[in-house]
Amino acid sequence: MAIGRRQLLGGILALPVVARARMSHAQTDGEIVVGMSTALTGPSQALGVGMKTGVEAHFQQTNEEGGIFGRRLRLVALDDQYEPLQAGPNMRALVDEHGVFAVLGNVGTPTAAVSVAIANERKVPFFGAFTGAGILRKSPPDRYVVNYRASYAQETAAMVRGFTQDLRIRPEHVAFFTQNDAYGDAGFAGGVKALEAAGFARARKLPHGRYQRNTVDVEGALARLLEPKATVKAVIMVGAYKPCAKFIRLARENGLDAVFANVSFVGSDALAAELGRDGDGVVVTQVVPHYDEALPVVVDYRRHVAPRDVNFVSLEGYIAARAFVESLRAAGPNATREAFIDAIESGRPIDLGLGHTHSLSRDNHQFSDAVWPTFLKGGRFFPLRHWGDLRTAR
Amino acid sequence: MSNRRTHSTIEHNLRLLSMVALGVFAALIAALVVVQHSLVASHRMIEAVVVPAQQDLGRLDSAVAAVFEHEARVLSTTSSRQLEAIGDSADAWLELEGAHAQLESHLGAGGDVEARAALARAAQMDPAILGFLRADDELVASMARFHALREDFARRLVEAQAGLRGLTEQSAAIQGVVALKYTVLLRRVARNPGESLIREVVFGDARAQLQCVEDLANAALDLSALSGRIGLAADSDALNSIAANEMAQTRQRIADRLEDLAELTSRDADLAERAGALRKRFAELAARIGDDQRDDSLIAIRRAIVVEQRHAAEVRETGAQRARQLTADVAVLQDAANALTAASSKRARRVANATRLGVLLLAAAGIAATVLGARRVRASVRDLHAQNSRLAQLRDELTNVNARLEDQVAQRTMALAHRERSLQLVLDSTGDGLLTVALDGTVMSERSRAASAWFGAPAERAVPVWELFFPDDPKAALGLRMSFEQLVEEALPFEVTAEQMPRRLARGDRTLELAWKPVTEGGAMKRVLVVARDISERVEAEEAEQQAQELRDLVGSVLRDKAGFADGVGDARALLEVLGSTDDGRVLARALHTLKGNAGMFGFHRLAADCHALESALVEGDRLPTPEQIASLRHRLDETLSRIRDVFGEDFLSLIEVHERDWERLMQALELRYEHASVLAFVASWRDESVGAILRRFANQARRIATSLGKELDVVIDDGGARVPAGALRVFWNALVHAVRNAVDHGIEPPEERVATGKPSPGRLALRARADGAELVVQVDDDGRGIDFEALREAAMRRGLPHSTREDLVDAMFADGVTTRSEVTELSGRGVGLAALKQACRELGGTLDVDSRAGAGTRLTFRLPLGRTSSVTWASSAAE
Repeated sequence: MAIGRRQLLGGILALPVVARARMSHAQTDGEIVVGMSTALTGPSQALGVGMKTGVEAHFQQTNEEGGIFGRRLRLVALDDQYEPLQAGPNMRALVDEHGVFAVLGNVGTPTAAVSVAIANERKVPFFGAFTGAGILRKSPPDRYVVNYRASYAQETAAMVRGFTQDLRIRPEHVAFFTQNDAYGDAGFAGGVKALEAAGFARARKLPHGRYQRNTVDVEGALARLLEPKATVKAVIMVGAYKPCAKFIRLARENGLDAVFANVSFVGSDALAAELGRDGDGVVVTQVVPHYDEALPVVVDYRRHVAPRDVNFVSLEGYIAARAFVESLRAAGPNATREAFIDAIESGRPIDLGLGHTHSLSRDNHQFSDAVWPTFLKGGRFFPLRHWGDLRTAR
Repeated sequence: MSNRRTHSTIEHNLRLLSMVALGVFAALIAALVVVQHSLVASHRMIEAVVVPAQQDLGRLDSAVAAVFEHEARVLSTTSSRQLEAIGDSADAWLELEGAHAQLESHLGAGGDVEARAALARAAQMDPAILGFLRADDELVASMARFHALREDFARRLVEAQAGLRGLTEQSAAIQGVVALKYTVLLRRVARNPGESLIREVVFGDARAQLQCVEDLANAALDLSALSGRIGLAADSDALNSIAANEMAQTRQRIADRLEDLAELTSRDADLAERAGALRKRFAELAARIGDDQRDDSLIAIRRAIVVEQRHAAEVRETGAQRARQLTADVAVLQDAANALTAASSKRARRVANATRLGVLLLAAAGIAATVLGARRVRASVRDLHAQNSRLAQLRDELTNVNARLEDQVAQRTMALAHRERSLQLVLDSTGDGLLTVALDGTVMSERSRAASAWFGAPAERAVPVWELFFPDDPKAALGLRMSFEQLVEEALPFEVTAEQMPRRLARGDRTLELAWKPVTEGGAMKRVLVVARDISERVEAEEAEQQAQELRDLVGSVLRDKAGFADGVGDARALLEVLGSTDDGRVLARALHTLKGNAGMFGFHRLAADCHALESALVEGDRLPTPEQIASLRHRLDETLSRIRDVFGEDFLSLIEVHERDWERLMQALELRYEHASVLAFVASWRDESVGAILRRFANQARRIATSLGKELDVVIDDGGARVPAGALRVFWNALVHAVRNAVDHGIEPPEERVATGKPSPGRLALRARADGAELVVQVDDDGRGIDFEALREAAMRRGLPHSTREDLVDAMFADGVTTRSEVTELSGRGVGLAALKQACRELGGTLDVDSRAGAGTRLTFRLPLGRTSSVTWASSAAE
């Protein structure tokens, strides 16, 4: 009654036409629109904002240098508050309404679980997401998913190597504190795999505390690690900065004297701020070099990002954007999405300014495998050259 | 008297017959009107009532189907949005009611009993239609409520689930806090197992709290499961069961555990606060999910949904019943409409049948009456006939006597006319012109159509045939008259005298061929039949063929010897000048004769023929050629030359041809700087004539002459490489043709004669030439019969010339007009040619010698002085 049949029919017919028209518009008028769905508000906003800052800094730099074969880059960033249920609509909006060429630098694993499916379905490149989870690192890789950073498994493997080789901690004295979702599971699985690789078969049975995402209810998890018969000397932590900080503080209050090692996703600066003085000796593994390093890309980064925005997250955003830009250049002028992916898979060396080039292939969609451990002292992060240095950190 | 009575009887009977026929005719028309009226009524009924009513019923039926389909679609919707998209069935409503109203009005138009019954039936449909439409309306409303409730339920269920998730998290958080407390306690026991510590572990609050919180977490899960089951409940019974059993128990258990927790946490302020929050949340959620008293609880909404669903199903059922009712009514009305049609057409058929019978009866009666009447009329007529024939008999006998004579005359006339007609038919059927000429020479009136066209229709006055054929030429007419008289005289056989009759006749631009045939009756010639056939086209074709042949020969002449040809043409012009400037008969005859020979030699056949005709007139009839005739000769020459120019181009006669070899010699001489005079002489020699070419020309002509005379001839040529300045000996060459012609015509015998005298059958003619100092010696030598000096002597005697010595005879031979031939041909025999030759020789300062033996041949030898001898020897030596 409210809508005449003809109007309804017209509406149905018109929809795809409008969508297609807008899409072609976005990609042909001298600009390349790139999308991003990330946490711009909420508990994880530091990550989303940091990534956006880094990506935009590099985009601006690229545009000032003449763009990609004369086409300017423009970023459309939508807020998903680190909620998977919001990431889906955002992704569809980016593809259907904004007609983005690719999605770059999304934050989060649970959100990625939704976003990757959409990207694959729409054949839109999903590039440089801020997550090290295995769902973005299938074997063989999804065609449209390309990563910059090392995986959580590689981060936790680095931790396990540090614990067992540098600090001489026995594998059975390692415990896990993880977020109760895909992110936590990814870190846990990586750690277990590394321990098993090191010859410790019972890794899955190690003390493992979990907490609910977007809460700080860590007591139950801590209770698991404090089981009287357990001896915990090192904790692999896969969580957000708030619960992690609370966990570290509460653990130390309750007499758990262990090495607390966090994966990069924790949000280093926020963690440092949250812990304050209590943070000394806490380890955070990074997938980017320390921002004081003299590597070319880091030097560039410092030149294009305001000092107050300098941190590991924005550096990752900057490097991921650089990987994206260099890949686009490799694909040539007016490249399609398919040509873009083909160029990446061609194995053509791409220089990100990390001291060596990267060659990807059909079987390898990840630029960097490197993990840079850092530790907190006096509220600041320092590169951790040798894990033994931790003994003097507290 | 009896005749008149018979007449009145016939009249009476005829009148009776026509009245009967009139009556039958009127009755037939009446029957026709009745039948038509009945059919029209039936047709009007079907057209105005039955067909529209059936259409209305169809509309009604499809409208019911549309509404019914609408209901099915309404029922199949799963959301308010879908329901809105479907809309109401107002169109179908209007259609339904409109169709019904139309049906009533259409049925009302049919006034008879069946239509009224159908109308009543249609009126009864009103409540069913109303009920059906109301049910449809109600169904839409019910489904709208149903969807609203379901969507409300779904929203609330999501809210409840979110609340439950929060509740679970909260429970888990409290559980974690309690667990940590308990674990820390356990660690203390593990490190330092004192009795009081152990007591606290076993009996302390921490352990009870842990238990309690775990129970609460489970209860939260139970609540979640229950909300799901409520959502799936299909009827009120299931809902009642859930509300009374599981929901009540779970709520009770939660309430108990919350109370326990409150007690257990009373000493821990932080925990107590958390427990309080949890309690509040639990209570609220449980009510939102399972409180039957609250209208907005999940269970209450679900109950409403179930009720609404059942209501919709009932409404649908009602609607379906109404629809069935309507469909049944429509079917009944369809039947009624069909019955209307049947009744109407049955009536029409009945009327038609009755009328047919009536018509049959009427027709039978009419026929019977007519037959009776006709019999009576026929009897009367027969009487009349009998009387009439008696009267006629008497009259015939009277007239018979004098008629017989006329009759015979008429028959004769007819036969004659018939014969004439058939004769004319025969005459006309041929394309020929047929004339019959009476023995006195008058042309009879019957003639064929072609003859009429050529000679005109028969004249009033009988015209003699000679006047008809030569109206403007009295001389020719006289000739024909004499021939005709000879023809009918029958002194000679008809065929012989017919040969003397004219064979061709020019008539306007047509040429007619005439044939003369006798018409005999009973062995005696009665008439002469003249058959004239139009042969104009054949004559034209012959002329065209002659022209083509002439052109071929002329072209051949040019190709063979262009210089000779050019000389020939020049001579012809000179001769024409002579012809135009004198009226001395002998000069004219010689010139004509030379021109004829010359023309024939180069292939100017028609010119030659013209000359021959003029020569004949001059020699035989003493008629000098008129200036017009001379001009026509000139014209003939020019016309022929222009045709050659068409082939070779304008100035083909003035071209000098140089042999490649001679050109090379000249180049060489110039390069080696030869003496100027010798080069000059050499180049001048290019215009010299080759005597060989000239002799070959004569040889060809000799062969042609031989062929035309049926003689065989071998010609030998020996030119000795001599060349003479162009034109220097032209006069001689022109005349030499007579010698050649004489040799072939008079000298060479026919083959059979040669074989009889022991000679080879081909005659032999040798033409020789050689340069002898400043003289050119030319010989014409044949192996023919030689000069008959006896005949020559007689001829000389006839002309009063000296004839005693052989020299005299030779002189006589070359005198004008001396010939030994008894007949004159185009070729030779007029005694003119040799005289011309002698004349030419003399002009050039040359001599002539004749050497002849009877039976062995003749040799003529000419010696001609040359002004300049051609010397080409230096060139060949220079080439060495």
